[in-house]
Amino acid sequence: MGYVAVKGGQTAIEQAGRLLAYQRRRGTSRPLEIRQIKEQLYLAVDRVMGEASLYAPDLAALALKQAAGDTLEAAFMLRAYRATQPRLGYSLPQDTTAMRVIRRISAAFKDIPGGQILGPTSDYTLRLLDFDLQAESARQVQDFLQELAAAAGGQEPLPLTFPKVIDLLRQEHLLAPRPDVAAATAPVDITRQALTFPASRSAALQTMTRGETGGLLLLAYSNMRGYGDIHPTVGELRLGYLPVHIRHPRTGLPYHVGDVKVTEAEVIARFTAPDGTPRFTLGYGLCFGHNEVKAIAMAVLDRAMQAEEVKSPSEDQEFVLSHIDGIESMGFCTHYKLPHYVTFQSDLDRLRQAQGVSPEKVKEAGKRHVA
Amino acid sequence: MLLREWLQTQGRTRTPAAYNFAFLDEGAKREIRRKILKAVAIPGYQVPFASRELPIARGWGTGGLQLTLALIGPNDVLKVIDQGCDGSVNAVNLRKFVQQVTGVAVTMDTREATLIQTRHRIPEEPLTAEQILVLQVPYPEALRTVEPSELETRRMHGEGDYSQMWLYLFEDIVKYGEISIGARYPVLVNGRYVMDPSPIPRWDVVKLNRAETLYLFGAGREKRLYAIPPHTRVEPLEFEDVRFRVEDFRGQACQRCGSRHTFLDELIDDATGRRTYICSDTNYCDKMLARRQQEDR
Amino acid sequence: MKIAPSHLLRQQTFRVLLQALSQPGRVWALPTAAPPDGWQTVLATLLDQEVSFAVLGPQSESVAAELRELTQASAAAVSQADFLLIFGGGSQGRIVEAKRGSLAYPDQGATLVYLVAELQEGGLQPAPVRLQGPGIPRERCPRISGLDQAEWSYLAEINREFPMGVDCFFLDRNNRVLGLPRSTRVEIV
Repeated sequence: MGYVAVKGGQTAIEQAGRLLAYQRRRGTSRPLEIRQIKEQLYLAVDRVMGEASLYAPDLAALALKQAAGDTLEAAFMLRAYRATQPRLGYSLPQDTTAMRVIRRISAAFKDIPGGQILGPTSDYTLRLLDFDLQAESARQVQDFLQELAAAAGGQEPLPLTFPKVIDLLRQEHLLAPRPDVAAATAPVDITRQALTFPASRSAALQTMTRGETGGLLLLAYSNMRGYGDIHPTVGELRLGYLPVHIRHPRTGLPYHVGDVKVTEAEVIARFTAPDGTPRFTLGYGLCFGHNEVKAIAMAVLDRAMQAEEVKSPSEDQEFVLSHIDGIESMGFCTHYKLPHYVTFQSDLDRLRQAQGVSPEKVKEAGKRHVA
Repeated sequence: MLLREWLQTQGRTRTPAAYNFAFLDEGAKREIRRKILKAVAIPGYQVPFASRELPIARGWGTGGLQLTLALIGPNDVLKVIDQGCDGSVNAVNLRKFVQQVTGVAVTMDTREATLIQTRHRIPEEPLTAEQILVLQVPYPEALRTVEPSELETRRMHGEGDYSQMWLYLFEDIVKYGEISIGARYPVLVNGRYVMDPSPIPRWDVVKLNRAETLYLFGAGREKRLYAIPPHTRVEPLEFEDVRFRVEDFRGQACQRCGSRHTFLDELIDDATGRRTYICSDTNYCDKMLARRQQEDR
Repeated sequence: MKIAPSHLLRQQTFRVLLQALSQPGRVWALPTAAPPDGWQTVLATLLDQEVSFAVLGPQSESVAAELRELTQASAAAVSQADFLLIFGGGSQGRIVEAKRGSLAYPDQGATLVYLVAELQEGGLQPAPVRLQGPGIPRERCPRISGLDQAEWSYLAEINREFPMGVDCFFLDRNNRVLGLPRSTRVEIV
């Protein structure tokens, strides 16, 4: 007769942990270096940083290694680590026109001031498996880098910054003017104050920027397909390095502490006329690292949640914001594996009672309450 | 320099020694503490709190854990149970974590503990005014079954408008002749707030009413915490002619200690497929068994 | 596992405050390590840069400056403050301006900390107040000396619409504390 021995539980957990590590180490390949993951799987690193809401490429790479490539697990580990770090303060608001751009495109216009800079993108590659990568050597990598450096030598350098496409639309009064930054209220910090509804735009954007890529994509896609009517056009998509400034603790002046790689999407949505004049509306998305799907999905949802009438899930702010956090959703999904036998016992009791109840009793009960 | 090397120069390792006592930073603890006080002041009302991520997954007890970590001091004695059992893998894991980040003494003895963190059961032995019971909550909102929107359930609680819940219970009776809710049975606290007592069996709901001990409820993923102070009215929702009933274990006794007055787990014997019953509260079962063996001598 | 002495003091102080609010009307001793000015330890336990406060009573300016320094909390108007510290035995009616929260979020109501002369759990002599409600087995009749009698009517006023209201802690000169949550029914005897 099995009675759960206390010691058994403890040993079982330890062994399970060892088996997990075994799964990752059992092969004959050399242990991965954190550097290899950071450099060569950089898009996974970017995704994990975004979903963990912690810009720390080395730690994200470590988490990916430890999680054997499971991006949800890795984001979870990094998010837990984030929670242990002391809060020193907040950065100053940063205008993204200061971004040091490496990619910048617009679907709204064929050509834009500064040009369409394709940058590093898989958009125009053919998704054919490159079997040469199976035997990629350090020498090949060196040769490639040398060739590229030589070709780039003669090129004119890109300007460091570019104007915003949407500012052109604003100049022509086709897009609502930018809200006055000075008059703006301080953004909410959702990691310090629980999200409540209706949520402010800053709370909504924060929730989305740390949201799970697949979840955001699902909801945005539903809107694009017809469960909504954003009809988005990508006004501008940027990838680059955004400087981060804090207020110097002594002088009080802005102090540059570093740059973060971000992807930014400004999506132009169909026009409305709240004040009588029809104008385009703007959806905004921004996330850590290079993650265009997430930035565009975020921008579409930002706009969708501002719909006057909620007709679809993507427009329902509470629905969207309650379900896009990967760490929360993954945790709850997996918690169903925990023992639930006591609650099940309770349900069994109820079911047996219900089955044992005679039809007469049901009729009688109905009569009493209708009166 | 690699991060790993830099961390070593800082004298930091991967072990929790680098973390604050009880893992959470003081700011996190302070926020939780402020919210706990508000929860106690408004019995049964769900207080929103920031809810930090922990190394344990959401849905696995981070709410209860944050309460424990905000409460705990070096002199506390901690007990952790899941489904009533100290040996359950999740309880073992949580207990190990708290021990690692605090160094507190742990126990399986309900009487010895000053702080008890539990998932889905209240211990059989009555708790005292010197103890605190922290319950892990997956769904803090009792009205979620009848209303998916948080905005709307906030309004309902604020206005004391529980008509939807009563209607739901009534429809249950019409369908089955009984209220079919098993665990998570809704209760009315202090005559004012309908509350979800967490998925404890109905057996344990009666222990909440006018108890000696403070009950704290933590939902980490949903970011809500709530409380029942001692000596507070906690009444399961019921009708005059269809009363609240606990689970029926008549005719059954614990196979191990012989108890006929505890909540029992139903087990299916490997070989015979036969049903047998064992106390869910393992510590209490141990004590009853020891007493039975003493008496047999 | 080491715990810094100041963190330990706050953890212990918090447990006392929690007991005080869970069992209203009883009087509890703050941890002995707390300095003679127990109110500083109580406020350092609860306040930080995430919340605001207001001070009512003599020398409120200097106390406010001290509090800001100690906790990094920001000063605010009485109607906005999360915490009100009341010296000098009473608020002269000003607490009726305090935050009471809303029906949807009653927890946003303020916390009041009164500094009084002496707290007693109530003995054989008749006491000025009778307390009933959550946390109290039948009733408790504590004696709070150094509190204006009028203050009870102001509290009744601001707490008249449960669940909205404020929650109180009373601290006396012997570093003892009494808790009075808004859920307690107060009868002036």
